[in-house]
Amino acid sequence: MSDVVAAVEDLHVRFPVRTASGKREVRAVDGVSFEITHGETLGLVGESGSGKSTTGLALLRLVNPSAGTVRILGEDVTSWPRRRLRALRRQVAMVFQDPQSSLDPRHSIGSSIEEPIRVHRLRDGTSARRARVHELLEQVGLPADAAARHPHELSGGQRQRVGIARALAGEPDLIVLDEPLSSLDVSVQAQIMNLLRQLQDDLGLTYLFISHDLAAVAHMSDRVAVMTSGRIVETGPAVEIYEHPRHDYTRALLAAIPPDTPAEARGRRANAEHRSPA
Amino acid sequence: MTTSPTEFSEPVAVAAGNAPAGRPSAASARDVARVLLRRPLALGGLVWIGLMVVLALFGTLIAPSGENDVDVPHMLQGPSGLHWFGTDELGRDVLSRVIIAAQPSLEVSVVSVGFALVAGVLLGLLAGYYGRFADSFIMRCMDILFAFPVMLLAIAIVAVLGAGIGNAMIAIAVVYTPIFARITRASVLSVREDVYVRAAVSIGVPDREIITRHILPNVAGPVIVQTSLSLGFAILTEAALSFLGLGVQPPQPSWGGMLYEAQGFMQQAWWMAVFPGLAIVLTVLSFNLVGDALRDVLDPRRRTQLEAAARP
Amino acid sequence: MTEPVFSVRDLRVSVRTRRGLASIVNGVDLTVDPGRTLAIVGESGSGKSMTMLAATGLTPPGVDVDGSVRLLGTDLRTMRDRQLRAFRGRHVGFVFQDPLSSLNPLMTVGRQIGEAYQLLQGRSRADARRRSIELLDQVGIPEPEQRVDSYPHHFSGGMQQRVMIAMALACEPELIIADEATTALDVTIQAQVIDLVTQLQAKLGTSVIWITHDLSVVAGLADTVAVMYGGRIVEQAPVDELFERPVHPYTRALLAARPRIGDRSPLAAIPGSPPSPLQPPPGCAFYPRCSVRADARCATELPPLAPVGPGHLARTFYAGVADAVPGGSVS
Repeated sequence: MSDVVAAVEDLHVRFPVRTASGKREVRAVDGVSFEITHGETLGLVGESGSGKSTTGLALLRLVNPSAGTVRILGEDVTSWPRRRLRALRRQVAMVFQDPQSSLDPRHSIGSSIEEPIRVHRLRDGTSARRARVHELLEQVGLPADAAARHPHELSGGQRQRVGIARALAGEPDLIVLDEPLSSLDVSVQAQIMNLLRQLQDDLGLTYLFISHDLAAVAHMSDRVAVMTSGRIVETGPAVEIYEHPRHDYTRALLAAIPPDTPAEARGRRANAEHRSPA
Repeated sequence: MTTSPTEFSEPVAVAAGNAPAGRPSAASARDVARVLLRRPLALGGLVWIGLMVVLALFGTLIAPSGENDVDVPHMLQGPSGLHWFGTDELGRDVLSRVIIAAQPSLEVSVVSVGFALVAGVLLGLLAGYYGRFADSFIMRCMDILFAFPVMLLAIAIVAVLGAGIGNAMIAIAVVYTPIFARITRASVLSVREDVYVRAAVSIGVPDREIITRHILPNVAGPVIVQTSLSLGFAILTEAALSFLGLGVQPPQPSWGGMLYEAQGFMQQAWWMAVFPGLAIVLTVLSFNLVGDALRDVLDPRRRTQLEAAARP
Repeated sequence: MTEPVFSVRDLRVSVRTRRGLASIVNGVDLTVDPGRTLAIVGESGSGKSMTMLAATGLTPPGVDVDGSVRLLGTDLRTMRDRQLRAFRGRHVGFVFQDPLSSLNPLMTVGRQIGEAYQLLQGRSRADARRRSIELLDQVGIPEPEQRVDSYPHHFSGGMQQRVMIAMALACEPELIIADEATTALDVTIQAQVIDLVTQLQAKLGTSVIWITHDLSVVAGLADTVAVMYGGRIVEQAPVDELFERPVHPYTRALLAARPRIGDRSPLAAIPGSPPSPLQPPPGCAFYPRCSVRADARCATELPPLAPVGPGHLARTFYAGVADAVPGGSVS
């Protein structure tokens, strides 16, 4: 199965928490397994507290698994020591939720995008690196002069494009996108989704798309995993999940998707009243 | 090409009410200049400091007499056309001595605060970034130093090492290191949680580089403010040490030393104490005023408030 | 024709910033009738939040406000500060986006809910507490007699937002203003909160102004919708009319850009970004991003807000009939 980019098996992530009643343990991820094959988008959908973000972080070892295994391109990275993690973080890149806070305000855009190239020595010499930065800017639809600007000079959508360019800079095998649309204006979200799909087609990218927005996940993903309370309750092709949900929680999530039209909203309310005259 | 290259529209104005959550744009040198120019007091402070620096560098050339030109027949004369600040008990021109004394005062202040800055920031970075054991150990050491009143600790150190200008610098450096460590550590703790630091970790940037490239530039603000304030206090501390005979040694003049010598002549020759005292006060005040103005520019939260409230 | 609860005429808001004058709201007219819900839809830079802040006198210092605002027939703009605060506290309830920052972490929920009730209506502590329990029950918080003494951090996000709603209702206001009240919430909780608000409104007859960027929230809530762009209202219509026959290219583009479950073809994204208040485009604010551009005047002349249907206004020179492909380029 050399086609598998990431394989997670029975992953557990637990955090110790100190409360008024003594030390407790929060099971953020409680036994999660999935695989991502090359070129596909796996959508990880769940509400806040479901553990989906923590799962994404575990793939880069930004949080450490308490149990279970994480395999990237066949290699078990679960217990890799710190000095080997740099290599892992070239293979797996992350796009963060808030493009404003994920870019160092004191660094220029070019400097932020160049960082992975420099750290992993992917290009030799300043001019080669700069050329690569311009190449990346073009791929994400930003003009070349963006490199000299600073984050506060760009709009939210532009900043997220920078975040994507930075993720691409390391030439990763897997990109984890953690709620990449949530901080963006609605009219810009569609742009970014189109960009991500186009890049995937052009460059053969593999995505783990984490989001609470069911419609966005449906649009972006080939397969979907539904998560709640640290566990995956259902996995399958996106179409299957949305049209024939099997688990109660999946059904509840789908039912909560806001209505598309006022007529639909009224219909739902009428149904709800019929069912429970309380 | 997916979507057409987006034009650069200015992002939503950081106008009041629409300010995006998180840090506002980083301060630039231009911002600093603008704030300083807008405040006459801070500007005055800056001018005074500039004047002191000039005196420190070129004092011996500027002063009308030498610092030890004894002229006993003309001792204890009040301010006059010949001696603007009068003469002391040995007939020396007080003005010249005040001018020339600027040099050791500023030198001690700058050198000792410089050392405290480097040591304190380094310790604060290590404590804040690595946390746990390093943090506990370093900060407990700092707490021990903090527990002593500044003057007492400085005196104790000089008493152990011996009087003199060099040891005074060491004492002051040691005594001022903890505040820099504490301030740096606090900033690091807050910056460390910022998403861009996590992003740098996610890229695989080594710790050393994260500290120097991402954390240090973003904690510079409070450190700069503290530097300005500490320079002022260091001058006070040095003056006190010299007053006690533990710092700058006679015959080299220092403002504190001049105060000491003026003690016995307070009734007869008030000018011997007032002018060096005034020099101390104005210099310390100037550093404080500049420090306050810098704080307004460099503290991100204050800046949003100011940006909102300002402009007629 | 009953007197509207809230009416705004030609509201203008601007701020002088270092980079120039920012015109955030450029002449907005709104009315809310008793018991009805008005939704204001817009994105960053549209001025939707600032419109409400300015209308209710909550703008930060340094912001210039112009225009007339009447609440229950009283002119708010001529009121003195103390008067305004009392009047506003008594008749308007606010629900903001992030309950965690709107709630005082050091005060119990009961005291916060009862605070306005006690101070503005001169009631006793005991009365206020009783009212708090009553309200907690109304907003669907289980075991209100116990929870009334809990602190905000003991509640989940959705429950905190319910507490905010309870606070907003404390003085039985005639108007509730909710600004992105469900944006930070999970989908399931969002649905619950929206249901709660509609039920309460039906029961209490409160008018609601709901500010959001999310059209789907609007579909479930609103009677009338006003779409804002570049500091102006660009379309206003009863909710059914807006969804079935949108006229303004921006509205049409917004509706078309939503991902639909089951359809994975590229989205009809709107290129570019919303305009900056510092550099308003001449003519129609949406022109730089518009793919319709039906009229030569679009670039240079500001279209007036004109009727295009029953109760339906649109600020555009394009008054075309709703065709198959709404405005917005397919990339």
